[in-house]
Formats: sequence, structure tokens, C-alpha cells
Amino acid sequence: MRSRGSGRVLAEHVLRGVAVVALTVLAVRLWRAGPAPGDAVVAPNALDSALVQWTANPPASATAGAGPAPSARHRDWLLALRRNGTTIRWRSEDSSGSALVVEDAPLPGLPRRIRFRSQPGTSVMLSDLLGRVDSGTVGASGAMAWRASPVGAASAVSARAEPVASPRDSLAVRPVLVLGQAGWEGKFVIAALEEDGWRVSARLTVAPGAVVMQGPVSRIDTSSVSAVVLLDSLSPVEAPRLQRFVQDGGGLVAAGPGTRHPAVRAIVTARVSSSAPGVLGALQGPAPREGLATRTVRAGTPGAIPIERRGNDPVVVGQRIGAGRVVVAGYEDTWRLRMAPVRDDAPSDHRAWWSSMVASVALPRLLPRDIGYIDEAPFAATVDALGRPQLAGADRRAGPRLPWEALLLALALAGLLAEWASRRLRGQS
Amino acid sequence: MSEFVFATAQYESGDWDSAPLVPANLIDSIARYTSIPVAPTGAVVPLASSDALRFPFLFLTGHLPVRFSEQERGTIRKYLDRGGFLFIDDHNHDIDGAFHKTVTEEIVRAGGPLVRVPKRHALYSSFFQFPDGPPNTSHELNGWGDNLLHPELSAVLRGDRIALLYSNKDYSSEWSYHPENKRFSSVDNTRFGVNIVVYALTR
Amino acid sequence: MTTMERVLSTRRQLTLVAIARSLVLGVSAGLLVMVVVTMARIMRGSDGGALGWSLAIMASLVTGLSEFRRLRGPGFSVPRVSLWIEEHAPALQYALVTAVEGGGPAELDRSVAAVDWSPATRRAARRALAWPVLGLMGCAALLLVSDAVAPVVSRIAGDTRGTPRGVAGELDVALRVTPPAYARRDVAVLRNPSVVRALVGSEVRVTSPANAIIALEADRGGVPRTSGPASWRVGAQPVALRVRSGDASRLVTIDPLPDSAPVVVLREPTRDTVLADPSGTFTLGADARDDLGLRAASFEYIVSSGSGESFTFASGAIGARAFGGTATGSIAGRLSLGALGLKPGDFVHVRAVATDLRDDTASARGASETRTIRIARAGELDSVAIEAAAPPEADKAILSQRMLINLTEALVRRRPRIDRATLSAESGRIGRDQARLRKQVSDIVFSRLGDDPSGEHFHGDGHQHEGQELRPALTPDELLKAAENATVAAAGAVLDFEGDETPVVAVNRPLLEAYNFMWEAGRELEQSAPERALPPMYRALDAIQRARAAERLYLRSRPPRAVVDVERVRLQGKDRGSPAAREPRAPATGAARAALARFARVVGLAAADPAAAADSLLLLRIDLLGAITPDAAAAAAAAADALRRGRDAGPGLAAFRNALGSGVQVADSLSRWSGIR
Repeated sequence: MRSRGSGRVLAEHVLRGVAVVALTVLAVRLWRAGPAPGDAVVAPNALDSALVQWTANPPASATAGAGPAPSARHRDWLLALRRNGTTIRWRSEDSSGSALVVEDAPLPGLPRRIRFRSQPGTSVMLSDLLGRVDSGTVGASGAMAWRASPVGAASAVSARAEPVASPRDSLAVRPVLVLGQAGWEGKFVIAALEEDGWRVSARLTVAPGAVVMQGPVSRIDTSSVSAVVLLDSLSPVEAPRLQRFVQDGGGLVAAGPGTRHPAVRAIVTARVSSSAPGVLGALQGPAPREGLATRTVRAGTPGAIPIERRGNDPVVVGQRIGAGRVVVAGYEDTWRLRMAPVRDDAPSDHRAWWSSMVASVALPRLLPRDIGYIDEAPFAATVDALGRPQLAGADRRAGPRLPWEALLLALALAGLLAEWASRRLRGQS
Repeated sequence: MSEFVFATAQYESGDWDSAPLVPANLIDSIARYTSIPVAPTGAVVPLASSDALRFPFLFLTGHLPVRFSEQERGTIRKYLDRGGFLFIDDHNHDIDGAFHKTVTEEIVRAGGPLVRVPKRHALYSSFFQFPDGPPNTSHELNGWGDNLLHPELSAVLRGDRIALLYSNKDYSSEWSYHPENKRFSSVDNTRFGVNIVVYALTR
Repeated sequence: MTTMERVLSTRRQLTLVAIARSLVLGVSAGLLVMVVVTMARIMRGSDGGALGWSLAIMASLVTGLSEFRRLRGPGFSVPRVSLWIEEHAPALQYALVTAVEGGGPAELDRSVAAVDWSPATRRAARRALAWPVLGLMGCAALLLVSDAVAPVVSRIAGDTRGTPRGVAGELDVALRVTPPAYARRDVAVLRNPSVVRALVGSEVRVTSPANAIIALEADRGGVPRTSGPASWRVGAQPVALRVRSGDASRLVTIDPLPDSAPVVVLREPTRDTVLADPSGTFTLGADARDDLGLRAASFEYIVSSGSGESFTFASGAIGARAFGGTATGSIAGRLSLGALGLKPGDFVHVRAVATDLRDDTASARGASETRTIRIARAGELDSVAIEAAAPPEADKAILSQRMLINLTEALVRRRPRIDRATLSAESGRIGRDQARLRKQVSDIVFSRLGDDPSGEHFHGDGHQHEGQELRPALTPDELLKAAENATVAAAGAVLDFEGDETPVVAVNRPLLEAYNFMWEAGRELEQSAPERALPPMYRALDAIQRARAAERLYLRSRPPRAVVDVERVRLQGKDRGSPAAREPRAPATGAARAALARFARVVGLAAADPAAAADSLLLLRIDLLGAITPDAAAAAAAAADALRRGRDAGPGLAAFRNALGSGVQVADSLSRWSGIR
């Protein structure tokens, strides 16, 4: 019969053996998962030093490890190595790609329109030279959008990629021409646009032959006006000229009585109903436009898109005509959105609504600009430069897999710890 | 498009209704000289109520001391900030009169500092031309009241725009007559009122 | 293991302990030097990173080597180690040295072998290392927190002693801020501040430690200078001061702290009052408070007498009390109406006013709400129209027009089944109810028109205008005749002011219509013809509903009555206007975007020229002061300070950028179509 002490010694041997076996299996797994002999593989975070090393002593082949797609600098370097004779491969954990686009919005002051595309559910942090601007999770559409003014280039940091982007073009926005009768609507529409930074030309009729003018008297054409806002049905506008302006890319917003202007009806064959009252008390609610009297706008032209509805009836309709855009808004007396609500942000809401409506049709002129470092779509650019990636884990079965390496390491450590503890407890160091 | 409504501000202190025919007279003038759609009768709106925000033009007058309540001050502040136009006229036009003394104090408290409106201001050319500034009233010319000709009006500005126009020339007396009686005048003395309204509607 | 081997093992252990202790103490000394250098660097706003590292390494080397030399002494020889062991293990009875040197008896070796001195060695090692390790940890912790502690220390030091130096190229200055005497606040001395917050009226005197000649000029704002060339009086507007001395300069911005006007609350009287009799006494009470101290408070009253264009005013003050600088205070008083000599129709306006310690009396005054006491005119209290109040409750005895219609319709349906007498009786009863209702309507109309002495020709301002003709008021009969004219006019027809019809009639037209239709319906009902009565009854109901839909105002005074026939007078004026051109408005949100663009340029400049970036940021801050939150202003000031001191300005810049409103994520229908917002 074995003594108790010898049993304990045996157990210690067993534990030591288990640890050795676990470490051996771990080493074999890691070795088998590694690259083919002669292939230099490097993790993404060690790519910088590896590139220096590969440049000094070029290996036969090299693989950039799985992780976010290489940056533009790394990509160019890897491409140079390939051209020098090294076989370059790269790995990626997903093939969806992520991309970021930043462009100026045709609004005064040119805030930027930022759009990010990635897999639904991707967490992304939008940042710029100063740090975080915003963060969020990509929705089911696979896209996110911001309007912001980043300082320097913007980057969208996610686990999949870190695209960097800045606008490729500057925009020049010409003045907006507002036509209407002297009244609150004209006054407050012009105020909203000017306060938001638009340059406005205006013609407000006070009496026959008495018009309050602002800005130079110029023809309605795309060389001098980016958009026309028509607020009444009487302002003297030649329909063919307005039609040609829109066809050439100019924008047109017809609102309230302006929807019945003959020139507008010549461009958009919309059926505009008579005015119906707004919902009582809605001006003070969360959707104040519900409180405005409005006309229903049913566009007869194909391609018209209802932008806002009152119930089932479209009240704001957008349409592309030729190279231009037209918005027909049935709302009457939108100045009430600014004056009537008790909420403090009513003026800024009114301003933003009118400004965005005009911006949605205004014709911007593109001016190429010098851009610094950008890397808008790292995945696509790397595929373009280095070919398609080896998909890390593509040969493995689908579904969740156990972390065998971690388990084996834990097993080895536990065996060694138990063996050491047993020895210490029985008095042997 | 809604009509222009000439609204009179009703305030708690004083006699806000001291010039009841001014609205009709100016409505008549607006119709007579412009094509601006205008409501045939004026409205009266309490200054303490948020209903005042429904009327971007308000006329306020009186003889008696004016002491706005906190609620009235709040409405005026919001009204001016949003682009409303408040025309205040001193119907008392007496030397250092109680209306002038109290209302100017209240204007500063509610709306901000009063500045002089220069004679070349757009107000004097917004429709009719008044190169010499505000037209004098018969009360000034006849030496009634404070026996002074007030050469300038005052205003509270928002940006570079007049948001509150203050007059101590007593247009309330000058314009408070039945519009039909204009036919007896060689020069319509309400033409400056048209300028004020057109300025409010277009600037 | 022999005795010699055991001693040699102990020697190795002791050597290792000595090395470890020296290392730990050396590193601790280095860390301590780093802590001191970091604090000094942050407080002085200088870089000094390389110097700090050099000092730390030197301190480490010197301390470590000194300690090792001290411990090692002449060397770790076997006899010295044996002696050390004998000293720490008394059980050896000083036999170890002998045993190690050899030559001793065998018993000696055995007795030495029986003694285990390893616990004593471990104890000694622990003692030698415990405190140095704790010291090392403490120094490391200090170094970690020094970044957080240093700004606080810096602020304290800056407020009191003011030691920090500016970065190279910027003028080293000290600012002595003396608040106005009335504020009773201490003088503050600041060294190289980016932003100074000072009470309006304070004097800011700029000096240079090198006694250089200082000149001041305002980059922004226009504040009056005081007597000396290097001092400035803080005005109501913020100012950016450029302090120059020779070629060096420094930008300092001054944020004025306005002294608030006293806040006064009138406790009594609690509401406006109308009195029938101008006698009696009102108790007055008010509380006042001020941020710096009250000077005095009193009650002010204005008595207004008269009517029309003829008013007189008298004013006075009662209940005055001096406070001499206390933060809060109360006043009380009594207002005797009899002593004021009030007459019916007079007004008394009462309010409390308080002044603070400023000399500028206009802005130093705070006033309470005003209460109005009015003395009713003779007979006024008999009228229902004197006060703004809800209309009186309807007379429940009177049937409504709708109920009368219902009764009449029921009578018409029952007519084939009832005899003539019953029809006549019931029709007559409805007719009498209709008459009572008509009377009610006529009362309303006549209360608005009938006793009015002025009609549409009332001038309202109590005096007659030249060239304007006064006509006598219409009698009720004339008004009714006018009403007849009005009601026979076609719906929507233009009213003719030049006939007998008046604007007064036009305003009341719906009620007058109802009145006439009721008259007609009543006549038919009296004649036992209910089916003929129904059409006018419907029209009367319609007219009443139109009258109800009209704007109802319960005013203290009479409502405006004139209605203008806009279409008739449209463009009939003799004169033609020629409006001047409109000038554009200044941008509001556009200005914020412009500020963001300026801010982007500041950030772009930060790496190349931090001092210039700091100046630009301070100027941007001062341009936006008032339009941005205090937190944003503080963030900008902190960022400018960090830029000047060579520290990380990122957090401050980011906070300022966020305050300017940089990121908006919007998704609405318009943005989906246009992609704009």
C-alpha cells in the first residue's frame, strides 16, 4: 500500500505532466496556425517596425496580420515592397469594408456633411484633430450621417477600419433670390436665411410700382442666383426664364401662395388644393408645422417625392427637374413657426428649416481644393493595391468557437500552480 | 398669405386705449397707399399674454405712468428677440411727463438700451421719403405739451434693425381721427405711419 | 551543506539586499526630483523636460551609489558576514567566526550546524527593504498626481504670490487688480494671467518685474484709461489689452464682472386695487437684496389725476431707510390716501426701489413690481363694465335660440295632431320666449352702443382736431335704423360708411342681424305660424354663432370700433411711395459658423506658434463673450493658458469647440431627400 506522502508526490508528477502536455499542445497549435515556412508575419500593431525590417532585409514573402485594413502609409510601403520582389499578403477579419466621406454642405459657412458606411451594428467614434466629435452605432441601413464642422480631417474609428477624410472640393454658393409681397412671410423668410448666413437678393412688392429691393437687379440665371424662393402668386417672373434656370441646375422653392404662381405651375404640374387650417394648438407642440394652415400638393410630374405629409396628403414635395431641384411647400404663414411658439428654440428651428429647404435645392459651384492626408476607404484601397485579403478564420467552422489557446494556457498554469502549492504545503521548496 | 393686423398692446398699468382711432386710421392709410393685404379692423392683445406673439406689429400708447409687470416684460423681451416690432408713442407729451419717464425706464428694463434713430435711417425712406427725419405733429408745432420739437425718435435695436420704436412726438393724438376726415387735409399726416408699418414688414 | 557554504549563501543574500536597497533608494530619489521638477514646470509654465530628466538620473545615481558604498563598507568578506551573522543570531554564541576560520573542535562545527540563522537574515532583509520600497511607491504616486495637483497649486500661487513666468518671447508681467472701493474687496495680484475677471470699475495696474516701461492698448473693446500709462479702468465691455514693453508683448483679456442691480420684492400691497373712497391707509412692505451691498431703499409713488389730454402728476417717496452695505434688508411704510388728496378717477402707482453702493445711480437702482390703486369715478361701481372680468353668468331663465328652434320644430311636427287653440297658445309662448331673448340681445347691443356719447366720431383723446367735424351721437332708434340697413345688405357686401350706417353698426352687425331675425320669427310665432318662423330663427342662430365666433375681448375699456372698408379705399391715396433698398441683416447662426472657422485656424496655428494661437483664441473668446456659456469661456481661457505654458491644450480646445456647437446628427424627411441636415 502506498503511503499518503507518495500519493501526493505522484499527484504532483501528474500535475506537472499535465502542464507540460498542455504547453506542448499549445506550442504545436500556435506553430501550426502560423505562417508557412519562410513567410514573415506581423501583427497590425507591429507593422511599423516590421516594415523597416523588411525594407532592410526583404523576406521572400510577408503577411500583414488580421485587424483593421492597413493605413494609406502602410499600404504604400507594402506596395513598394511587392514591387521590390517580396510577395505581400494581408489578412482581414471582414470583407465588408468601411468608408468615410466628408464634403461641404451647400449652406452658408459650409458646415460639413459626413457620411460613414460600415456593417450594421459597428460602433464608431467620429473624431477630428481635437478628439471626439460624436459616436454611435451604425444602424440597419449600414450608414450614418452627421452635419458637423470638424477641425482638420475627420476620422471614423471602429474595430474594422479607421478611414480618414476631408472635403475634396470647396463650394461657392451664390445668392438666393426671394420674391414676394411685403408681409410677414417675406420678412421672416429673408430674416431666417440671412441670419443663417445666406446672401439674399429680394424683391418685395409694397404697391404697384413700389418694390423694396435688395441686391443687384439681375436676371434669374445660374451665374448669379443659386436658388429662387417664391412666396406669392403675383410677383413678376417669366415662366420660361424660371424654367430654364431650373433646367440648368438652379433651385426653386415655392411656398404658400407661391405654389400657385403660374411660373411654378409651368414647371411642376402640381395640383395644389385650397388652404386647410392647421391643427389647433399644434404650434406649441413638438411638431409645430402641424399648426400651420397648408395646401395639399399633388405633383402631376413623374419623379416627385413627397417630403412631408399632413395625414396622408403630401404638403411638401421635392422633385428634380433637369439639372435642378424644386421644392413645393404648401405651408402658409410659416413665420408663425418663429413668432408663435412659446419654446425658446422656435426662431432657430424656423431658421434651420428654411435654410435647409433652400440648401436642398441651391446650386453650388464646386471648386477643387488642396487636400491633405485622406484615406476614405482603407479596405477598398488596400484591395485595389494588394489584392483581396486572406480572410482570417475563413477555414474554420462557422459559429462560436472555444478559445482553445487560452484554455490550454490556463490548464498549464493551474497544473503548475497546484504542483507548486502542494510542494510548499508539504514543506519542500 | 395672412393679412397684416394692426394690433394694439393692452398693458396692466395706465390707459392703453387712449387713442382708439389710430388703428383704423393707419389701416386706412396702408390700404390707401399700398397693396399690402390688411385686416379691416385692428386687434387688441394683452401684453402679458403669449398671444402678443401672434401679432408681429404692436402699437402701445397712453398718458399715464407705465409699469410693466414681469410677465409683460418677458413677453416684450421674447417679442423683440424674435423679430416683432413694437411701436410705442407717448400720448402724454408733457414736459418730463410721467409716461415718458416711466416708459423709457421700462423699455430699457425689458428690451435694452434706447438709441437715437438718425435722420438718414431706413425708417424715413421705407416707403415715403422723410429726409428731415420724423414729421412734426401739430401738437409740437402748436406748442402744446412740453413745447418742444423732438427732432429724433429713439429705438431699441436687435442687430441693426429697429425692434422697438419709441416716439414722444404724440402721433397718438395726431392720428386719432376718423379716416374719412383725411379728405379734408391737403397732406396726409399718417404717411409716416405707413413708413413704420412698411419698415416692420420688409426689414 | 558546510558552515562555509552556508555563510557564503548568506553573503550572496546580503549583497543582493544591499544592491536592491540602493536601487530602490536611488529610483525613489529620482522620482522625488521628477515630482518637484514637474510641479515647478507646470507652475512656471515652462518646458524643462530635459532638465528634469537629467536631474532625476543624477539624483538616482548619487543616492544609489552612496547607499551601496555605505552598506558595503570595506567589502562583503566572509569574516564580516560571519560577524554580522553572529550579531543577529545569538544562539551561535560567537562561535561562527572560529568555525569558519577552521581549526575549531568538531563540537563547535556541530553546534554551529545546529543553529539556523536564515530567519534572522530574512528579517534583516525585510527591514532593509520595507521602508525604501514604501518610499518608492509614495514617490511614484506623487509623480502621478502632480499633474492634477499642480494647476491648483499654480492658481493659489498665482493669486497670492504670482510666480509663473511666461513662455519665451512673451512679456513677463504682474497685474494688480484693485476693486472699486465700495465693493470692499481685497486687491489681487496676478502673474502672467491670460484672463482677468474683475468687477466693473476696478483698476488694473500692470507692472513688469524687470521694471520695464509698460504701454497698454486695446485690441478689442474701448475702455477708458486711467491716469497712468500702465493702468486701466474696467468698463462694462470685455477688453483685450496688449501690454507692450520694448519688442515684447503679452495679450491679457479682462472680463468685466457687472455689479447686479438690487432685487426688490414688494410684499404689500399684494395686488392692484380699485377703491370707491379716497381715504384710508395702505400698509407697504418690501424686501431687497444685492450681490455686494445695499445703500438704501424706499417706496416711490406717482399720483396721476385728470382725464383725456389733461393730466397732472405728483410723485414722492416714503419709508426711506439706509442700509450701509448689508446684503439684504426690508422696508416698511404706510401710505395715507387722505394725505395725497386723491379725487375720483385718480391713480396711485406704488413701488419699492433700492440702490446699491455704486455711485452710478442709474444702474445701481433696482425696482419692484408696481401696484396700482385707482379711485373709482362717480357711479362707476354701478356699471358692469369697469373691470376686466369674465362676463356675467347667463340668465338661466332665458331659453337659448337653439332650444326655441327645437320647440318650434317639435310644434311643427305635432301640428297635424293638435287643434288650432293649442297651436296658437304654444306658438305664442315660444314667441314670448323669443321676444325675451331678443330683448337680451338688444340689451347687449345697446350696452355697447346705446349710451355711448361719441359713436364713431369720438376722438378718444379728449380734444378736437382742426378741420374735423363733430357730429351728434346716434339715438338708439337711429342705430336700429342703421341696423336695419346693415342687415338687409347682402352677405359679404361692402358697408358704406358715408350713409347712415356706421362702423359701430358693422362691428355689431351679427347681433343686430340676430335681433332682426328674432323680431321676424317672433312676429310669425305670434301669428301662430311656427313653420314660417323657423327660417328666420335658423338665421338668427347663425348670426349669434357668428357673433360668438368673433373675437371676444373683456376689456377694461371700450373696444376699438372702427372698421375700414379696405377694398373701397385700396390704392386711392394721392401720394405714391418709392421705397429705398433693403440692407441685409447680420448673420446669427452664420456668425457661429464663422467663429468655428476662426477656431479651426487657431487650432491649425497651435502647433507652429502656440503663443499666437493663444492670442487668437483669446480674441475669439472675447468676440464671443456673452454669446457663449461661462463654461465655454472658461474652457477657452484654460486652452489659451495651456498653449502659453506649453501644456496639452487639447481638452480645453475640444470643450470650447463643443460649446461652439460642432456636431449635429439629424435625420428627417428633408435630409433624406437632400442629404443636407
